[in-house]
Amino acid sequence: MKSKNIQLMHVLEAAFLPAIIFVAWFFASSYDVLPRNLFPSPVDVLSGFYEVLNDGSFFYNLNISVIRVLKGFLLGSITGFFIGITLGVSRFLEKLITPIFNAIRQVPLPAWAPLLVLVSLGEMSRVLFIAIGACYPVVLNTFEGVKNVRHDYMEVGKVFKFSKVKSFFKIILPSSFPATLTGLRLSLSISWMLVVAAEIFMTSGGGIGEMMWSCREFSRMDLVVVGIIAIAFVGFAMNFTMRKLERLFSFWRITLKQSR
Amino acid sequence: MFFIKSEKIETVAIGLIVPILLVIFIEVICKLEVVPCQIVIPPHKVVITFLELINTGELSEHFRISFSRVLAGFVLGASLGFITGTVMALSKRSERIVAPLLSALSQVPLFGWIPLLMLWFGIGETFKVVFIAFGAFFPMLINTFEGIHGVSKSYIEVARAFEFSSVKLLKKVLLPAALPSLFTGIKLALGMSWMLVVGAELVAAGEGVGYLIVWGRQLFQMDIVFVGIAVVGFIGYLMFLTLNMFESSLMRWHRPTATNK
Repeated sequence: MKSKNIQLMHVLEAAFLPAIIFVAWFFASSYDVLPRNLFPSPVDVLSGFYEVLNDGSFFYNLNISVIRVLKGFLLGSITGFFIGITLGVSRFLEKLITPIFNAIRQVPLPAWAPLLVLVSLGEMSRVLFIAIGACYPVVLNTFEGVKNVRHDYMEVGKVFKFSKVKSFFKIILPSSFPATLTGLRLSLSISWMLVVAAEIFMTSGGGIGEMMWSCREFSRMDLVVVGIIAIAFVGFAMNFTMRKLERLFSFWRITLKQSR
Repeated sequence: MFFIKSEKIETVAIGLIVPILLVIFIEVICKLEVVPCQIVIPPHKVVITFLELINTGELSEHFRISFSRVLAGFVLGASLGFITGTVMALSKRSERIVAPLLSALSQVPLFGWIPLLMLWFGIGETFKVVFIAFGAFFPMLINTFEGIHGVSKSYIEVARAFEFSSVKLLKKVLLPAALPSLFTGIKLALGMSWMLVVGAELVAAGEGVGYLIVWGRQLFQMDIVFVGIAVVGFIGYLMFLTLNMFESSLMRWHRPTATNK
């Protein structure tokens, strides 16, 4: 009974601040304390949401963004996976590539946007922009994963006279895969951040970021808020799914921990 | 000793192979005019443009403006993040009250705030500083919180035994023990700030290194774009190095405990 009370208390505490903000927001906007066009009331936001739902532009743009992010994510993470594996397996290539990889990695991601516009004005530039950001975490985590393969495993492989190819597929790949998954999760959340950036920096291809950007030009704050809530929600859903996948696919990591 | 040195030289030499080949490759391509020279710029021309921009003082002016924006945004965001993180780590109740709201806010991809902040603050300095502060806030908050939260209970008990006041506890025990984590937060926050200032200057600015890149693109002067990209990358790296040096000089005691773990 008491623990139930405490739980209720905790829920109330968690709801406290959002509730206060919501109420303050509601009253401030309905009594015109704050300029309505800059601080739309919850009702405005809902009706704005209803509006873009009805004319189909919401799902149209969201769809474009999600497809775009998947393209960029797949392109970047697959490339990153191969780079990471290669760097991890070969000492020489590691020495050869790592310095220039690290040098390129220092460039803040938005800085690539103007350059990519010159590569192509179309969808390609936005996808490449996302792919650049998506590639780094996968490279780094896969590389770490391959480097951290336990020595005893490799030795067991040697005892069984595994060929290089076999030890790669049977030992290195499975035991580095959990690290790669962490990289993939980070990569997807960066991709989602960058798709919004790409749609703001390189407009005229549709997408939820561009919807928000044009709503800003028309001072439709309610739709900007709709966009913010939508991208936060999708980002959260993506992260959640990736976390689930990470747990699902890395069950052998848990057994490995237990065996230690 | 000598052996280590020669190995180091070898590593550096191997690392230089790809960049040098790349430079030669691009130079040759441009000489043979395989691709239009407006898009692929021979590296020597980029260097010349770089020197020109430095000589006219343009580059340092753009840099100064960007840097002051980063500094303002970073100081604002990171100090707010530090304070919030400390309060959340010290009081369970405040954590329960603030955490849900903050974690909801942190779900929003950072660039998604641009339209909102531009409507609120216009396209001036305030917009950029607040935007950068947003980015610096969350990494600092998370790392401060985890750093203080993770301080070993035995340290706190020792402090209790000596009847430290809570201010003294914070100053003498909690903050020093959380220092490595705080530094991680500072590094992430500064890196994020640097990324966001470039982003903010791409969409709304009349000066700054991000603007320099956009400006070069609009004039179709790719050499300026490349100079801009190289400079922002290099400065970001310099900031990271400076912080690293500062960190290792401040935390000489940290190494041995790290190996103890």
